[in-house]
Amino acid sequence: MSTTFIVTLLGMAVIGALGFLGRRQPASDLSEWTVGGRRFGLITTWFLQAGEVFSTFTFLGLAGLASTGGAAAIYALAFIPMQHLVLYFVAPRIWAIGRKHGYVSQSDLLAGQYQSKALGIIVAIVGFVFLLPLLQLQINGLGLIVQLATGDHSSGMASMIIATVVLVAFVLWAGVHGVAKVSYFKDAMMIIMLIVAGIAISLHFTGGLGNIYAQLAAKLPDALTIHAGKFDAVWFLSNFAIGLIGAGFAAFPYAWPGILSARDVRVLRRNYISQPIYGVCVAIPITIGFIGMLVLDQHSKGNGALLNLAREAMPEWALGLLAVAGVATAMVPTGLLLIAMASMVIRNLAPDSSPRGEFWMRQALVVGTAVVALLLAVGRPDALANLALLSYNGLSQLAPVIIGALSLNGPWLRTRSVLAGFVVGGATVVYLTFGGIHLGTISIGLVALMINLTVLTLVEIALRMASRQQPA
Amino acid sequence: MKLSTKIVCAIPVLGAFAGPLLPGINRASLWLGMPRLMLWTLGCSVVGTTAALLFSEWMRTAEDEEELQ
Repeated sequence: MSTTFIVTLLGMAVIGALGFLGRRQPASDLSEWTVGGRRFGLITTWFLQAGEVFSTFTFLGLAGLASTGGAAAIYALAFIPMQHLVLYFVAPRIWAIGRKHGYVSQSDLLAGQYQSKALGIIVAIVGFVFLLPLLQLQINGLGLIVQLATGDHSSGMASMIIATVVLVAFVLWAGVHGVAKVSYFKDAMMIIMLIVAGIAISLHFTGGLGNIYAQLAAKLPDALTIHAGKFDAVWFLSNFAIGLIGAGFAAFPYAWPGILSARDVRVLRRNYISQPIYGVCVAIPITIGFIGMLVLDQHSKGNGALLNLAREAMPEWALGLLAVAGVATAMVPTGLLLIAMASMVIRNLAPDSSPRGEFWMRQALVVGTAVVALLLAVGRPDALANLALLSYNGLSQLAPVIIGALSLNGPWLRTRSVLAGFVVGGATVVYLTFGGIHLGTISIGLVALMINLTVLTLVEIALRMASRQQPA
Repeated sequence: MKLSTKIVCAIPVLGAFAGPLLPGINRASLWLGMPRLMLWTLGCSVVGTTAALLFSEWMRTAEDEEELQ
């Protein structure tokens, strides 16, 4: 067993212990388990929300994108910090409505606001189906991190199983409290290890941080610009736009525990003012990816770029700590995903269950969902990889439904119009993803959202006209 | 939301969207040792967003607070 793997296993044990320490007793009711009784202060909310922003996508995906697409990766540097500009105005309204009516998930807020059980059920089912690939992607990412750090496939496989078991155990015990506790550790580890890796990798390959971009400008100047090709300006701007809309309007259900668990709206607003500064960290994996573009061969680029570079530049124990940071980066969003998926299913598909029935349903859903995602991650690692984009694009179609529900006096759009837009938008995403239609480099999610908004507007106008024509 | 808040919040968003389209920004040369586009985007998304949010917070009134209580 390598030193790197031993350090990684010790790190997982620390993560598990922290998760269990989140609560002294198991979380009793669904509200306590999902939104922590709405008592989280500024620090906990800050770490919890930073935890969902920085996932394996940030750790592996951005370095990989920079190593193959160069400046294209900068789009994440735009939408990740900037989503807080939108959330500053949106999240306090979600929180206020959620507290007033006791909502614990995205789908039960939408069902309640629009007074439509059908809408809640559709959003819960679609959300669950779209979130499963993301859950698998986090587990796959975790395995890939350990596999690349140790250079051993079986260590990666074992890590996926151990991490999932640990995660399920502490999520069932402590709920969002446990995830919040782990997120402190995760963000501290991630910042420290990304800075250490950035310095070590740049010193090893380019002679220091100051030389990276000078060497790129001399050898691969095109990498520093957005230009014609696979990652052109249309790709950059459309992905920036759909990322900003999806994340800013809280279209991703796993963002909701972090919003609804806040103590008050001031906590949320202050959190969003400070979060963009933390977004600077996104520049570190992108910069490491740029080094990969300079020095890695074609085979080593992509998602493995950061760890392939780190393996050359760092000692085994430090590589182990980097793997622990990566594992924690996967486990925090995975925990939030499990909580969001279980709560939206329970609240919308079994709304009248007793507290005892709710408790057992929660156990079964968390264990069942995690087992399915783990089996897919182990057995079919590439099966759902392409579905992750489908998930983000599909869930972004919920943005108009959420916007319509944000009035404190009830929805200002009709249920039938938002539902029609959402169904058509979602179907468009599926059709454009699997139908073999080539639209160039524009984001499928943005095209579908335009169609979604057109349908919504037409149905809303028709319904308003019809209601005016009815005799009093 | 006041008009001034809307305008101030729109500035960093429009700036970030304009970056890849501005020849002076989307160019293969460096500012302060970093790609121009990267530094511009960081300026808009981190400095611009934080400044816009601080302005929005400063412009909040008691009525805004009451609305959400």
